Amino acid sequence: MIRDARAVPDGDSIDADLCIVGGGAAGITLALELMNADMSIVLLEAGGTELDPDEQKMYAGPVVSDVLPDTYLQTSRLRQFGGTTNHWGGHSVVINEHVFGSRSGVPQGDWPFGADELRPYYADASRILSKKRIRPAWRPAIEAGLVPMERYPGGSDEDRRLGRAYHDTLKRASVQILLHGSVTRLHLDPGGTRVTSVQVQTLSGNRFTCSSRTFVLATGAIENARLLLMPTPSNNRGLGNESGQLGRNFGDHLFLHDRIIETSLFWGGERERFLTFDPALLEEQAVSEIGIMRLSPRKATLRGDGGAVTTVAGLMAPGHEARGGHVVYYIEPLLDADNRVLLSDEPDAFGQPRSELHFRVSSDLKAHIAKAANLLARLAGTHGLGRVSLSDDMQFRYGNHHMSTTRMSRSPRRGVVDENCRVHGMENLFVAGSSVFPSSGCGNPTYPLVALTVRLARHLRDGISRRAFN
Amino acid sequence: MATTGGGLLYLLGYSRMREDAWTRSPLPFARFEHEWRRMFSDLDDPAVLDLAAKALEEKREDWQDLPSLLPDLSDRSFKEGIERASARSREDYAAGRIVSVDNWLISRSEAELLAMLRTPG
Repeated sequence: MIRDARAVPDGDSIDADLCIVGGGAAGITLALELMNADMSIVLLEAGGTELDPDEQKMYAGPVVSDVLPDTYLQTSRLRQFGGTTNHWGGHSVVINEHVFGSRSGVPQGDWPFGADELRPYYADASRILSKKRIRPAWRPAIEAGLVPMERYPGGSDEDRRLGRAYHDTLKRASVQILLHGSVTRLHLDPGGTRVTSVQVQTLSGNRFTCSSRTFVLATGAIENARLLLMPTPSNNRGLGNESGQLGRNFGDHLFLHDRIIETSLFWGGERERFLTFDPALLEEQAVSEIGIMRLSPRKATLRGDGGAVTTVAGLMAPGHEARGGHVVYYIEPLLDADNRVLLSDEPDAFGQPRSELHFRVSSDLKAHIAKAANLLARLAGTHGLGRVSLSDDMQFRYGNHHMSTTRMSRSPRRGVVDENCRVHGMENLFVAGSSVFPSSGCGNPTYPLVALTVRLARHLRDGISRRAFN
Repeated sequence: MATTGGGLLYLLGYSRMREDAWTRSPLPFARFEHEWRRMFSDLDDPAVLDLAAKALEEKREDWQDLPSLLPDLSDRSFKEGIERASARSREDYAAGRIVSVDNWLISRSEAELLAMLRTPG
């Protein structure tokens, strides 16, 4: 059932077994996975089925950054049913196994469980995101120390806009979806360890509450942090913030375009054009995971960009024609506590503090990129694959992949949520989405975040049926 | 020059000729073409031959003069020179002897070759 929150009477109260805040990839996944379970569910979405400029402006806020634009908070996410899947390009990958473990390149980036824990849920994520089946990965570059990323199989435009793809399914389901309703406050019990209800407001002016036994925040890494940072009568540091990590370590995948000369079957097929390094090599170099994607290969010439280098490379690796092309380096963010979401002094239309984002590219990250490019040059040259370039003036672009502001950890001293995504110190409050990623690897996060949300759905189904969160 | 084979440098010289409008030792294109084909006649590597043929075609239209490296066209160790240079370059890459030249991350020996290429002859 899909309703308009603006039509809910002012002062009304809605009750459910589970309240999901946010109707993006994570929120819709939860609704789909639990809609047939024996529980009542309310999903609160701040936007509508179409993008509304006034509602989208609610995302605006100050940005302090040397690489992100001032409009980043307002343009890099969508306040609409289906969330940011409404402008998702459809690229994503499985998080590689080594990312879950202890790594020199990303200290403190280890997950509370291994890749095997998440692996079973990718099939469900694939079912939700696409009607295509996963194709086996292609692995000819392994000898050189490069491995293909295991990619999300991709879906049609209609498949991956989850709001549209599942609108009718959810409309027929028992899930109660309320559009245009923004959660502005979490109400806690006197002990401060349970959420009893959430305050919902609309731009039309009505307010109501939603009471529930269990709550999940699924509003993206910026909004999840903002809602948890809101002071409560018993806690002015924010919920789950014993570690002081709440809102910190904000990550986005930065990427760089540069040139490459191929003198062999560097990539193979078109679909297998996203590679990364063997984990042992990354560990040897103590760098975060860096992916390499080929773009638009073209015939080499003896003049123009890299002309002389192309000639040399072609002669040094006879047997294949030297071809010039472009490559993109995808860079896993380092955990940087100064890159963070804060509460701004600037109020939004509901009188609540807007998000404020601080994000800078550290010299450490630039050093990681330089080391990775040199490693790629070494491998490509040694194995006759080609030649690599890295421009001195790194012109970064960004992926709009918001991550890691509510990181997962077994201990409340290191993170914000536990291994089951429950907020540390809270009995019935959970977080879904890539905000819980302790580290992310270099790949686009939608596929793993949906897999992780399916895992959360199973946990909630079992827990709610056993009344474990009461 | 002898370490890599004069033919290699000759081929590399194309980008320099195009860039610098290098004009020396006037010679008809027909003779140049003859020398060029003779230089590659004992090679069996299709990629190198293809590259050489393309370079020749590219040169045909704007041919003016023969480069001063003409004497090296008779160097019969062209293929061996390439192999030696290639092996040395791979050793450099494997050992991490990599330098940045115009933002290209190339082996030290390749950088030396490029420097020779760019030095007025």
